[in-house]
Amino acid sequence: MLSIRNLQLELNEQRLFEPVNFDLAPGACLQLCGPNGVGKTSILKILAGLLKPRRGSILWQGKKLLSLSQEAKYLGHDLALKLSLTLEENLKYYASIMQTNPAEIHIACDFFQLLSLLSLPVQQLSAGQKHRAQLAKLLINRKPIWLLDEPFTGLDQTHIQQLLRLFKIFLEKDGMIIFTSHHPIDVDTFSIQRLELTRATHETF
Amino acid sequence: MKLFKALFWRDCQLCFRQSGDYLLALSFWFLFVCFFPLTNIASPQLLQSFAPGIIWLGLLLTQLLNLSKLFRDDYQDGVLAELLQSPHELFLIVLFKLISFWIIFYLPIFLLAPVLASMFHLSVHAIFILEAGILLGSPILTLFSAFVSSLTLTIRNNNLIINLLFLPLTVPILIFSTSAVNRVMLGLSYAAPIAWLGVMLLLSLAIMPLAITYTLKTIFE
Repeated sequence: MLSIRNLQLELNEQRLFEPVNFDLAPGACLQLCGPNGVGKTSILKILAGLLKPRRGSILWQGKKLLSLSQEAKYLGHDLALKLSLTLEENLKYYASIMQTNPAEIHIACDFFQLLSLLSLPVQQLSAGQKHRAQLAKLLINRKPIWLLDEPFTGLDQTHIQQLLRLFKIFLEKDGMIIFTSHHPIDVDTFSIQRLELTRATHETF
Repeated sequence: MKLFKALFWRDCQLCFRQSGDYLLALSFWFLFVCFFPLTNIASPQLLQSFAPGIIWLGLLLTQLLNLSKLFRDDYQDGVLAELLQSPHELFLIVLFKLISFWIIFYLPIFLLAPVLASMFHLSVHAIFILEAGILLGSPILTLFSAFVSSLTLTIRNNNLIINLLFLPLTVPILIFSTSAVNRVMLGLSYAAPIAWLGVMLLLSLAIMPLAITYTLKTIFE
């Protein structure tokens, strides 16, 4: 169980969004929506431990944590892949840094249809392929929570469906997903909770 | 140890793939130093007196070329943020990155320096002391530049401020390492400058990795 209480962030002395509260049970999926610049990415970064909130608390299984950096896998806009190295070298490095089994690379690449691209330098991949390479990290470094920033951007229809299938499998295994997206996601195999972020009215603390 | 192997191997691969950048940095130093005797062939004594200064100035300028290898590239492409989420202590990662940087960039320089020094008619004894100076001084350069680099990561177009912060820090290293060689050539004792370099190395080894780790952590707050 994950509970977020009264999460606030300020940028240049101004509050970004109205305080955020939500609870997420195992197997639940939450979509953060809202206009550009309202702080959707910032919330994911706070949860991942890459940004410090102004105030608020994160409760994970009853314990108060500073961030979920060890419990969650965060995928942001940055690729975190070295362009001059091959996909395989990048993923092998990733697996060894995260202390996971390198055999998972094969399974992950098989799922995202990347096997034929493993020996190519990442700079030769298309934007969608790079994005899939990043998604493959979800399967290499398995964590109970996924924090995904715009996971569907740049994917074609088949791969969107493939990612949704992965979501379903992960949720059935009691995983939790928090993701951001501008567009409503249309699925009937699992339910998505939506949290609409609203811009804070301009008042100081 | 597995972590060190992974980080070191990765840095080697990156240098190998971007061999242009890597060789540019090394050859810059090598050519900078080895072209100098060509401008002044007449007097070996004069060349001798210039040798330590030229070799060390070349080192400083090369270090400036290499600064982006220390955390800046990793910060920009998101690899650093990913490392923060790894199960390892950031301190260990920083330490290992610094060690692999030193091995990749300074070990070749350390090995090549005697060749260049002989072009300046340095005696064997003087070359020995020059090497001791490089061995003690180059880790300090690595630590200082990593610190300055981590401090300025979030500043765009940070080259000017890096130069302004980094170069003044290197003045004592430059003075002690060159004066050690100069004193050998004058027949004086070189113990004091070498000892001071040793003191600086120990001090910066004790403080800098912690300071760098702390700076990197505050960036993500």
